Amino acid sequence: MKKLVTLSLFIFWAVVTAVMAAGLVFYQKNDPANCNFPLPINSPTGAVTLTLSEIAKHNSTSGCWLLINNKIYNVTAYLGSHPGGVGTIAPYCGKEATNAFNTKDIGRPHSANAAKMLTDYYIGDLNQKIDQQQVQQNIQKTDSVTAPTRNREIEDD
Amino acid sequence: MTLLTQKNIAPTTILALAILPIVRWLMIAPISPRFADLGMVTTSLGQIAGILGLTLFSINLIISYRTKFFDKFFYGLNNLYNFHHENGAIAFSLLLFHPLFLAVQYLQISLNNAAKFFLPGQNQAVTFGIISLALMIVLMVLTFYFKIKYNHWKISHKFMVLVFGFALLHAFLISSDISRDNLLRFYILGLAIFGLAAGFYQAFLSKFLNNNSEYKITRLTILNSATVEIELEAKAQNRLLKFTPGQFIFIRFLSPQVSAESHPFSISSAAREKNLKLTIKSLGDFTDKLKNLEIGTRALTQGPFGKFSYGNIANKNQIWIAGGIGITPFLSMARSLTDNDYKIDLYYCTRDRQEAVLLAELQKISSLNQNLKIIPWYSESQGRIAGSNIAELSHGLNDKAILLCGPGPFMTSLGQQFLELGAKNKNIYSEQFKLL
Repeated sequence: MKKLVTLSLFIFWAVVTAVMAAGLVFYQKNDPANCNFPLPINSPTGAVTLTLSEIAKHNSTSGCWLLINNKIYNVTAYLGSHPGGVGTIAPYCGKEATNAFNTKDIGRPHSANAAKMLTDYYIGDLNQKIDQQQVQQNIQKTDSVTAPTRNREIEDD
Repeated sequence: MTLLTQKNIAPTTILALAILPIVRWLMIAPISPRFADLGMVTTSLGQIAGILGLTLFSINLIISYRTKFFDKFFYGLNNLYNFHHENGAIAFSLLLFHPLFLAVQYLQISLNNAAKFFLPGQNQAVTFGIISLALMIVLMVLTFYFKIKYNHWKISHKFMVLVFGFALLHAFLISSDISRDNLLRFYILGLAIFGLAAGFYQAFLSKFLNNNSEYKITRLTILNSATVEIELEAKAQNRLLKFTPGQFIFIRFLSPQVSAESHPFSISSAAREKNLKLTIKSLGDFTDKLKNLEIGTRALTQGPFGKFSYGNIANKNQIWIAGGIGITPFLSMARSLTDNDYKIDLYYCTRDRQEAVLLAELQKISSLNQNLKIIPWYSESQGRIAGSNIAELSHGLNDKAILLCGPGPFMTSLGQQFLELGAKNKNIYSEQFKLL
């Protein structure tokens, strides 16, 4: 059993030390705002319709769109700030999330503050025909929203 | 598949108790999204590690409550302590991996996000988790890597209740499957309440509230430079301790000469004797000071515990093997042996004659009872006793019950040799005199 404990402790400290050193010391290089997310829409110019299948393309933690009350939000920059962890939102990336947002899966709604915060990440309405450039701008704008610190959000947990 | 014998009822039950919440967790939400991509797989593993770690931690606190029920359930309290030790190590490892797995999802966003995840202060619930794990690391490092004095270690280990308190705050404040699913929440909460109550009682209240029987020292005999025999008389003569030879008690001496925590010792007197005898070898700080105790010193005992006894074994053709002070349960058994149906060979293995305390008394008992044969074995002149020596001297091992008591390596080595010589595992019974 001592071997198991030694191995676990070693892995734990190795990972924590490495992540802390890399994440805090080389902070600037890894600022999420500097990351180039892949352009989400295929056609470079012209208009695009924000359909369900378009939303579904943004189904990962590196590009996460949510459909809430027929409005589309790009919450990629917010993921790490959610009090419940990335894992709370991640399953809904690219999907309809109205019910999840309204009930938090436990039958309790989000706070008014959370609803207000959500508007910062708005990029368009479902089935809205929108100019390609406008979409790119909206994505960039919502990607660079400074996510609130998590302790401010605790009431929402 | 192994049969559900008395010895593995407890571990099997606990395994089932630990797996139940994982089964429920798998039922709450569709499984495929939980394992859809790397981030989700690691998040799910992190959650499983957390739930399992917390459940095992609760169980470990519950079983720390010293009671005869658990003594029976685990087929001897010493099995319980071995289980507690291993279960604690597993729970600790799971809880270490819990944040590591969860960090992967933050790592996918950025290294900075992941680094911040390990820092306290970002979120109250996470901070509770970090405090809990940090304190647990300190306590477990003390347990596994530092040979601190037993009484100091015992005090340090009481802080596990605090670790558990923070872990609970973390588990119930954080938004997760535990907060989302009522069944899972009540299950984990139920176990946790029992764990917290049992742990708190054992750590802080048992000293004052348990049903200790009071004894006082009536005689203290120095058997050799390292061994003393302490004789104790019950304060309430109508409440004499009923024990099976081979069992042990926890005892706390109320004397400024020794530290105040309770220690387990095998009873070495016969079951029919009025006074209790403990034969104790100096193996550390506490036991070293016992020779300084005075006649009349009060002592509080709890027990008896343990299942290690010739009487609990159906086969009456037995080989008893004592390594050093591991003789104590056999002393009680030999002193109690009146049934003539038994045929017993007792191997008393010590370094030399000097170390073989009470050998003369054992030989006297043997001279009066032809069914008990005493075979002293001195490693200094005869070399370490081997399984084959015993097989030869006792005319084979087949169909004999083998009872072993001594230091861990002594028992492991002999047990292994017996298996190689064709003895069956179910016929080998062992008791370690060092509980932790």
